Amino acid sequence: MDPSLLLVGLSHRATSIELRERLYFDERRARSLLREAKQAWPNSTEFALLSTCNRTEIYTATLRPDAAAEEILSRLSIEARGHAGDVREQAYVRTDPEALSHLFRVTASLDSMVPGETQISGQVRDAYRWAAEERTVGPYLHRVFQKALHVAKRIRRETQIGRQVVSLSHAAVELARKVEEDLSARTILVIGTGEMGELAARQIGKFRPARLLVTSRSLDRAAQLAREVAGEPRDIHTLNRLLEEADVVIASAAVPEPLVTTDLVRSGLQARRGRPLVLIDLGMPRNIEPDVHRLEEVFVYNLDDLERVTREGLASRREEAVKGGEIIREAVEDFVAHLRALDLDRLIVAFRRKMEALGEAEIRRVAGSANGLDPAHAEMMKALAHGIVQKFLHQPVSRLKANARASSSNAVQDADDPKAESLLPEALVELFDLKDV
Amino acid sequence: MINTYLFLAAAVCYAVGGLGYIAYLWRLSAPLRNLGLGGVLLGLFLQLLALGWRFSEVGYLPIASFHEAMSFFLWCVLAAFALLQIRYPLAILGSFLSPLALVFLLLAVSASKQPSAAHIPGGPLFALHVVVSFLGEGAFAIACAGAVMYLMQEHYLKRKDFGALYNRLPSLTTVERLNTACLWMGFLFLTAGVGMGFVIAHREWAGAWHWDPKLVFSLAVWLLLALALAARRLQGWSGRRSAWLMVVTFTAVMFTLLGVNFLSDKHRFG
Repeated sequence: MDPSLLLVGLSHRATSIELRERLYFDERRARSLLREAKQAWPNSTEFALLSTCNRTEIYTATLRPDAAAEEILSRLSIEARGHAGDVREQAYVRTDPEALSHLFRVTASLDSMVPGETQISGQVRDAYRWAAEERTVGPYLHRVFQKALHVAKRIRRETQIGRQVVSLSHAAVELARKVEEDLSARTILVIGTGEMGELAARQIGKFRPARLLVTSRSLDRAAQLAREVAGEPRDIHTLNRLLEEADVVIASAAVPEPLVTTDLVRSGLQARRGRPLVLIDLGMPRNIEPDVHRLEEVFVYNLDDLERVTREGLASRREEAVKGGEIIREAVEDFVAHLRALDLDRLIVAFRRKMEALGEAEIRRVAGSANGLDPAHAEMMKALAHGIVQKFLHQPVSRLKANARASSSNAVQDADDPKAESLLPEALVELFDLKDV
Repeated sequence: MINTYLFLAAAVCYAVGGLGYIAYLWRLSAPLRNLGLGGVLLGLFLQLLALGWRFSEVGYLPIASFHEAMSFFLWCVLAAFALLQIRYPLAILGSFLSPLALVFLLLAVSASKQPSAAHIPGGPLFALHVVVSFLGEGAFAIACAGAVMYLMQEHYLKRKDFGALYNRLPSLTTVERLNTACLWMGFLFLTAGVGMGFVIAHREWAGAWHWDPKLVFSLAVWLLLALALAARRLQGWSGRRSAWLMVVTFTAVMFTLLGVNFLSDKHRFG
């Protein structure tokens, strides 16, 4: 009988932060639970624990899912200290293929608060690594986790899920990069030293612009921020000159009237000689007159625009998550079929039976053509055929088992590489026509 | 006959590649991009074989019929695109160039195969004149596709419309750099083509200048391009104005190549 994949978990969708805190397992606690589970959870043969700030999930391979789930729930209830009832109420228990589909969705970040975030696949990889190092995963969970990481990578590659921006400072930088992609050759001007401006300056600083100029009504504060972001302080009274030099402006000064007026920008356009200018207004009240946006080759974006970019980015990620869901449905179907076909033990038994049947058929054929054999000869022929079949089987079967052990131990490192999965069982199925196993 | 089959095989490759690139605009996936580029490269190779085959049969550059001229023009446009992909690997450009290339492909497939009644000069200078002129015009076709991309992205940025196409299109300066490269490449090739054209006209028609419509229009387009380049250098004309100028230039180039073809009795294909 094949094991089932069992999932017992709690996530941000239904569980309060207080309970999630109690059920959070850092690496040390997770490893300790896995070691303890080897004895404490006799109904599970393999197990792994995924714990993040949004979820705690235990995946096991089990022949008795109900009993195994009960063991896990009891253990989690102990951890929940005083919230045992909540654990039983809020936990979800799934078996394959729903459990498989859930793990694939989680790993591909389709179940995250912000779909497309990249942290979760790293956390799944860690969970898998810890379990592999504690020797609580075997061939079954190895395959399951490898496939989950592989599917996550495929979804990231084939959809736009990770590409849309979802934070304001990131949106500011991405808007600037839609005008000038290579910021490393450009001059960035930061006006004001407000919190948002500082955040955007740090974000844009990562692109190592040719020059990062900082100006503020207080030259001291400008100098201080300039030091922090490896920029150069500038006097705000030279703003007209600074606007001529800059390619991207980030403004977040606390001023009652706009600092950057249409006339001020227009007067510098001649000197710019068609060089585009992006102005990001993070100030409230606004630092830049909205009409500046009407000037040719000048683009102004304010907080509302940035919020719209992030909102559309999130909506777009959710749409992409739907596409990702389709990929997961396909992957689960394929994987279930794959597991069935590649169940090594059953495959070896079927292989052995097929070879023995061939030997027996051959004896019957020889016996028939010789008009029957006396019992002594018949026994001898049988022993001979059996011996040949056993000798023939010995090497391929040993190789198959050794190969399965080797690919399991290399599995964590090679999880992203589909080629790392052994091809021998598949070859055997093809060569000896064992598809009906 | 073999060259006809080779061309048809190339046409199928171009069509598949073009559709791959158009589908890439809808879904940015590496297999679609590879299908696009693979179709173009394989088509270029097959058509080169077809051209070589035909060349060995007739002994001159096969542009005698309108079909041959259009086919060769298509080859030059796509060869220029493939070359540019090395320096500017912008797959999305393929999505914008594909509709144009598919129109040229339809024209080439449906055009008359009747050879031109006009005398076709032989010799390497004439072949070179056609190759560099077509390559130059191919560069303008790409610049025109780039200009359309620029105008669309600029429109989205000005309208603050951050939809799907906005996300797929490259930055304004990336397209601007590509257009500048195409403009210069086209201008240099066209200058060489027009220069060689005058030498050939002088040799064939006894005297350098004739009021041949194609000569007049070629010179007008060349002047327009020279002005565009001067405006960029001296007046800082770039961005939106430059993109519109590129669309106008390409329309003029196409008119010179195709429209004027039917006005000139001795300087025409087919």
